[in-house]
Amino acid sequence: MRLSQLESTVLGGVWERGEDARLRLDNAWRQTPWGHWVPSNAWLANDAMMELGWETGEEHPLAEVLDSFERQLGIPCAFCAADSRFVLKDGVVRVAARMTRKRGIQGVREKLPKKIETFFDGVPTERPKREIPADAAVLVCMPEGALCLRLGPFPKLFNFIKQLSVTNEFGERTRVLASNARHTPCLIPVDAGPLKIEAVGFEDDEDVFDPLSLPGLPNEELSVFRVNADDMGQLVATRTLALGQTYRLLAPPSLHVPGHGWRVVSSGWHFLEVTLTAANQWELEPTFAALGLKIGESGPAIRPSPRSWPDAWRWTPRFERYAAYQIGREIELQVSGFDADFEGECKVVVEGVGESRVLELGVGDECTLELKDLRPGRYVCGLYHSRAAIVPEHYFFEVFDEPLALPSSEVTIEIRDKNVTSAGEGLHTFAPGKPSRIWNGSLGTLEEAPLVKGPAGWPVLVRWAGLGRLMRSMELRDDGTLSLDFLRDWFDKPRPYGRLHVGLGELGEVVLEHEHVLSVVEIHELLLSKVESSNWQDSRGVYKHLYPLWFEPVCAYIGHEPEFVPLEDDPPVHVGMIRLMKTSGKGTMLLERRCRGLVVMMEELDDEPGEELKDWVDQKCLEEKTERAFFTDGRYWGRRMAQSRRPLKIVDLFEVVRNEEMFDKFLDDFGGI
Amino acid sequence: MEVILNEFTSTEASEERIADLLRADVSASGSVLRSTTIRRIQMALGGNEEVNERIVGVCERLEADGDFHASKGGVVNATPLRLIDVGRGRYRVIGSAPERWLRQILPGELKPGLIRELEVGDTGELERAVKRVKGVILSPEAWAGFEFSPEANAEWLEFLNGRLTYEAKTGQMDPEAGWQAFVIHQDAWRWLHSVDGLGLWRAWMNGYFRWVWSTPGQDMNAKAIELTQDEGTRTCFALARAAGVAIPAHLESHGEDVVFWIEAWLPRAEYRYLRLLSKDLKRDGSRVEWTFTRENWERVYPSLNNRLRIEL
Repeated sequence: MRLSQLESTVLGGVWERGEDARLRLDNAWRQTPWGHWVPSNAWLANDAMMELGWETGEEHPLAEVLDSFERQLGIPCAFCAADSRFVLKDGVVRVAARMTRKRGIQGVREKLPKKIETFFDGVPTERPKREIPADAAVLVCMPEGALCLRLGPFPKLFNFIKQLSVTNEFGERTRVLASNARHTPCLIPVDAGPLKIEAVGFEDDEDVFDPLSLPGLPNEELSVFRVNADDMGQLVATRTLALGQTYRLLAPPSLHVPGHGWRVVSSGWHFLEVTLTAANQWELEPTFAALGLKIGESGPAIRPSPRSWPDAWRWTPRFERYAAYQIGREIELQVSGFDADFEGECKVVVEGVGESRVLELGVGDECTLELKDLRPGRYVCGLYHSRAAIVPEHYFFEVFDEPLALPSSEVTIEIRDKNVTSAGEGLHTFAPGKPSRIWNGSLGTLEEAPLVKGPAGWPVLVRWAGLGRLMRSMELRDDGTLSLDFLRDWFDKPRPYGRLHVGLGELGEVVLEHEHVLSVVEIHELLLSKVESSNWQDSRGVYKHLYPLWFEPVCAYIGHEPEFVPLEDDPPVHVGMIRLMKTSGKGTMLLERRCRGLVVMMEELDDEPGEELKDWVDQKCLEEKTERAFFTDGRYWGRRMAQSRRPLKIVDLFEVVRNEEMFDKFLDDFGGI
Repeated sequence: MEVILNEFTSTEASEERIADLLRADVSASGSVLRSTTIRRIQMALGGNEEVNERIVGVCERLEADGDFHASKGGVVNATPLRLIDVGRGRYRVIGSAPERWLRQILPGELKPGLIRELEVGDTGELERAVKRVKGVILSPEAWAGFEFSPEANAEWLEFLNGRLTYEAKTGQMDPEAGWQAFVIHQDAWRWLHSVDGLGLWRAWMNGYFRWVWSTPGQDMNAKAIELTQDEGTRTCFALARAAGVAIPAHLESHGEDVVFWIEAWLPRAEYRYLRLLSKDLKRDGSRVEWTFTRENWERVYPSLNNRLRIEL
């Protein structure tokens, strides 16, 4: 027998028979220093194997090693598997990694340059496919117990993927713009149940995007989140909580929660946030014990001191946050929670830009470090405790020699007009503290939506002064831009005149004067196509139905802002009425909207209207303060000036659109341009 | 590199110190979750509940004063440097840059505080310094937004009536929402249910007032336009001015200062103006008490009177 045994393994059968046998009473066995047993006649090879000087990762079949010793010594050899200096797996033995490390603070110092490089330059693990890295979709617990999915970054996501969707257990989908999660993570509020993440439009194409399923939080046990420096609770598996740390606990509805301070959050889940301190640990211990949690040793922490706060928070490619300081500053760091019982039990190493300093900390658990004369570059401050149970703590930071970056107050708006006929096309800078009118033209025909640039997060108020109401309160995005894309939808409806105010508070406001006038050629094309395509004549006399189908577009094409007028008094014959409006600017602030004429919709216009109807229309013209009235059945049009005794001169629209000369005359008589 | 080990000493947690730390953190971050920046400062100051509460309060104050801009999702954003010229070489400093940054950038003497003030002899040097960091110098009127906000007078009412002709819709007022009409009764303005008032209506919905303007004397079914909170409060003053009604306001002398109180919500621009030039403000329901130096009050009163017709 060459491999050591446990006493219970050797004597198990004997003990089962009720016999009180012990190996120490048997001269055939002897105990190893690690508690196992080997045959008395075997030579224990463990110490000699340590002397062989194996490198890290070097593996050897145990049988071959022992054969070699036996050949040299001529006696049986044995190996104790309980010796923690070795790792034995499937008959292959190697020296444990920790045994080949350089010991003590010297070993730590030698590794720090590599650690700095890995922290600052380490990139997320390369994956063969464009799949979601495991850490790109995790559940986090935000303040007040809000559970969120932290999604992204997906730097390798195909550009043609525009949206990602998150589907919960009830099949409800939340969509996220892929661009928001491509380079930085985004947070999406979610329920505790399982989630599925897919690329919208590519749900069945795993080669484009491998869908990812997240199991959600367990329904029977407590979920523990450790709060990081960004105030984000990260899910941890441990049930031993460290002093000095803040935790967020989420308990499912089925779990009884003891103690005080729990709040019910969504769907009956209970939430508690607690910072473990020496002062409250005894009070919390019974509550935690009932939940299967233990309070462990304090963990050391290195934090920036309020006396020298970082000048910038920056991110590594793996989205780990670190502090950056401008050159020339004296940097003060707070070190706490190291709990040293004797001087030198805890050491601090500051390493960076080819320099290294080691300091032994005194008795106690908090102190400050003052760092001076640092050259530009990357540094780490590491704290190492003699007690192996206390994990090392690292504070990475950078010293930079660029000027401090303040947000700029400059705001611009870029307008690109494909017609290049509008006044003021191009880039405009806002005048702080006052409004400025910078542009006029047709906002409905812009090549690209206007683009506003300014300080990130700054509020933008977009207000339309004109027919209809548009009021949008928005913010500039993280990159300080905002495209006014929604204007495309707004100008889907014909809007002949209005002013668009784009305001950024004290940083200024610009007014874009919109006027959309169709050219005669455009009007002709539109009318011709309308005449050739519509079958409106089937609805003669049903004015409410006919209005949107025929009269509204025709009146809009020829330059009016038509409004359907519900008639309250009975006309002498069955007619409908349209008010033709015109909006125009009046001064800097006011708009004026006046009635420029009335349209009388009739079933047939093949003859002069009756006198009674004409009197009734004259009265309507008086009420609307206009003199013009157009009689029409849709095809035939006649113009009447109020109180006029001249008969109507009736023209056929179908003929007009096919005759250039008549068309111009028609526009002069009936148009609103 | 020199590393010195010192004994731990705690940092004072005065409002002024907290404000500067919050500004430093928001500036260092650019954009950051409000809860994150608050927690960082709470951890750095290692304070008790009272200090933690103070940090939250100071953060709210800095957002209200314009040092930070709050945006959706509980995010606070760093803001550019804006200097407001309050006269005699003195400037209010608004922006997220902490004092250490400002001392590097700006000439003159910086007075720290929740609201910071700068005193400069050479304004030319200051203008160059502000331009270098792409900041801006504004008058109090421009900061308040007087250029964008019309006075509460007959022209404002004419503007609203003009909007009725092109923006109005029916069905703006849900009868179940408890709409109140603005009326003038016994030389004071009142809000009454179930009457046809002077055209201005309001209803409390989801934690704020919805405001609507319709033709005076008409009921809730009339065509109406929706107003913003700012437009609604401005219209109250315009209607009161048109009716010749005095706004309940009062002025008291307190040593070197004067205390002005008014029992009405001010429109946004006038509120920003008073807030900038006041030493302090206290709220009690709709009543707000403002403390001014006599010098600033001399400047504030004519503007208030012109714009809102507040007579004392």
